[in-house]
Amino acid sequence: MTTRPLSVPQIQKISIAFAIAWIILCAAGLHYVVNFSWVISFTDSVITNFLLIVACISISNMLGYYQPKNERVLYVLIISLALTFVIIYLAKYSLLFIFTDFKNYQDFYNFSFPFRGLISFMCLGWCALANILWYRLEEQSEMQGRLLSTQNLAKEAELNKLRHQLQPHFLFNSLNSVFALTMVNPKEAGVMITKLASFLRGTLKRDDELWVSVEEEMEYIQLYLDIEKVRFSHRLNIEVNISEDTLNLCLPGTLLQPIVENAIKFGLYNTSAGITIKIDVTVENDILNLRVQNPFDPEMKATGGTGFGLTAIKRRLYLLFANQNLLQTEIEANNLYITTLKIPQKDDQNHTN
Amino acid sequence: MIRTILIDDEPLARDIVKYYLSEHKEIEIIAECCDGFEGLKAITQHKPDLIFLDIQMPKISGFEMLELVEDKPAVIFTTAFDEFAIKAFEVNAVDYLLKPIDKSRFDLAMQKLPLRLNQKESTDAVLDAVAMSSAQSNRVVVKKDGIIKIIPVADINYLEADDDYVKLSTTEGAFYKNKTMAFFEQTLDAGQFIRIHRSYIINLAQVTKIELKEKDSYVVLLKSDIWLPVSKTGYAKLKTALGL
Repeated sequence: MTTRPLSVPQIQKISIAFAIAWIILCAAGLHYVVNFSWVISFTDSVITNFLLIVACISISNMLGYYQPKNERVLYVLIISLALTFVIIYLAKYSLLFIFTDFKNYQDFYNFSFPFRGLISFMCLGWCALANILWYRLEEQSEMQGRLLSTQNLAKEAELNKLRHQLQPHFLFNSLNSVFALTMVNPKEAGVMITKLASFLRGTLKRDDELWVSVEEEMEYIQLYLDIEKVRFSHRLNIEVNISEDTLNLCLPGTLLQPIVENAIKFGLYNTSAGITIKIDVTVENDILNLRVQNPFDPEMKATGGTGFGLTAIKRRLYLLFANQNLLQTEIEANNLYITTLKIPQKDDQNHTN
Repeated sequence: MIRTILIDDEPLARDIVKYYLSEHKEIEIIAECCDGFEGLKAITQHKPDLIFLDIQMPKISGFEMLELVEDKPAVIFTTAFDEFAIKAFEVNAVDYLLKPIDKSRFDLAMQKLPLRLNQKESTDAVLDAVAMSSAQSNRVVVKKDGIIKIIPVADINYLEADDDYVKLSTTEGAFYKNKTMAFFEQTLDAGQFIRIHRSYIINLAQVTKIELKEKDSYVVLLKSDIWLPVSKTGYAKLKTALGL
């Protein structure tokens, strides 16, 4: 909602002062120039100008509800004109009614009537145009504000995405492990640093839109798992089985990693026992199957809050393939959690790569 | 000698602290633990003077573990990245080390140690500040008969003031937590938990009926077949929460 000019205290004050000064000025003019008594001068000035003020206020409020487009500004002038007629006739009849016995005044009034009309019209017209200008400027600054807040939101989203991509918690913990390795086992530290660098490079290269080959994606996943293995060497076992015929198949670049991350999060971070995470990649009837298996603590699942957080992946799959069933999760006996991701293979995607 | 326990789920992270500590002859490492459960056991058993505590660990966080420790030792937190925790540390002047841990920063923490050994209040302030964060408020960690229990807040039927403790009534029985009613009133989701009385906070999902007992005095019946008194202000809160 735009603010109205008359609701701004400063404008209120100025307009009231201006109106009072104008009323006094008119009365003084009538008294000194035309030589009417103070009573007549003031009554005339107050009634005429009061009606004018009412008309100005109503036109200002009306424009608050409806702002004419460029070619319609003429209508506003017509409305001003109509309002002018209404108020000057109202003023005329009330004044002539009050001062029926003053012949002098009546003559003067009839003589000055067209001038009064002209002045009223100019006042109203000016008031209308000033209001239109005001509302236009208001609208513009509001639009600017909206634009600015949209930009801020977009920036924030971008920042959040980056932060998420970089996984600061993972990154700093890994750095800490590397740091420890430099003292305990410098050779291993070197290997880990290069792995971390490759992983980060991969992270920065990731793009939601891009499809990558299974080979490429699994290399990336392997780096991630290798780094986690250095951090939790004693208790993380990894079994990756990729069947030969899948290496050249493709999948969207940002789907598998969050699933593996989940497996690590619920399988590894939530327990202090040794665990095995198993990844199987197979192909069947032109559908690429990625199966991730991790153990979990059933007691922790109830308190995990957001659960396994796979909704975002499901949504992406739906947007990509219009199919709700490409991501499936199941819980096997002895507390194994299995996530299966199915990627239908289209010929064109494979050939473009 | 300052008897010290290291609690961190990553062996290399413990190694680096051990390595730094090897220069500080006054420190004696009496145990190393790789999660909060083990940590709690070791603290109860050894009553250390100092612990190095990681925050993100399996099962329960370092904060949740610390809440269960009755006689808190001096704590130096070690963490990689936890925006909220770091803010809580900064405000409450507890010593914390960011991973990867810098040697000179570590030595500085050790220099300040004699001061820290005698004042535990700021640790409590950190725990309270952290518990206020939404990340922690969907579960409550309690200890009963030496067993640690993680209660999702949705499983709490009602809370009752009981001297210095708050009794949490769940379907699996009652648990006690050394906190105040005001603390729970602030940390629990106000849309789900309503303080109906000076001594009671109830889970809205548990309400089956509200009855007028006598003039201006109401009682509420919970699904677990328990009647609880409702104060005048409590009744007003209950009414708004239920949209009456």
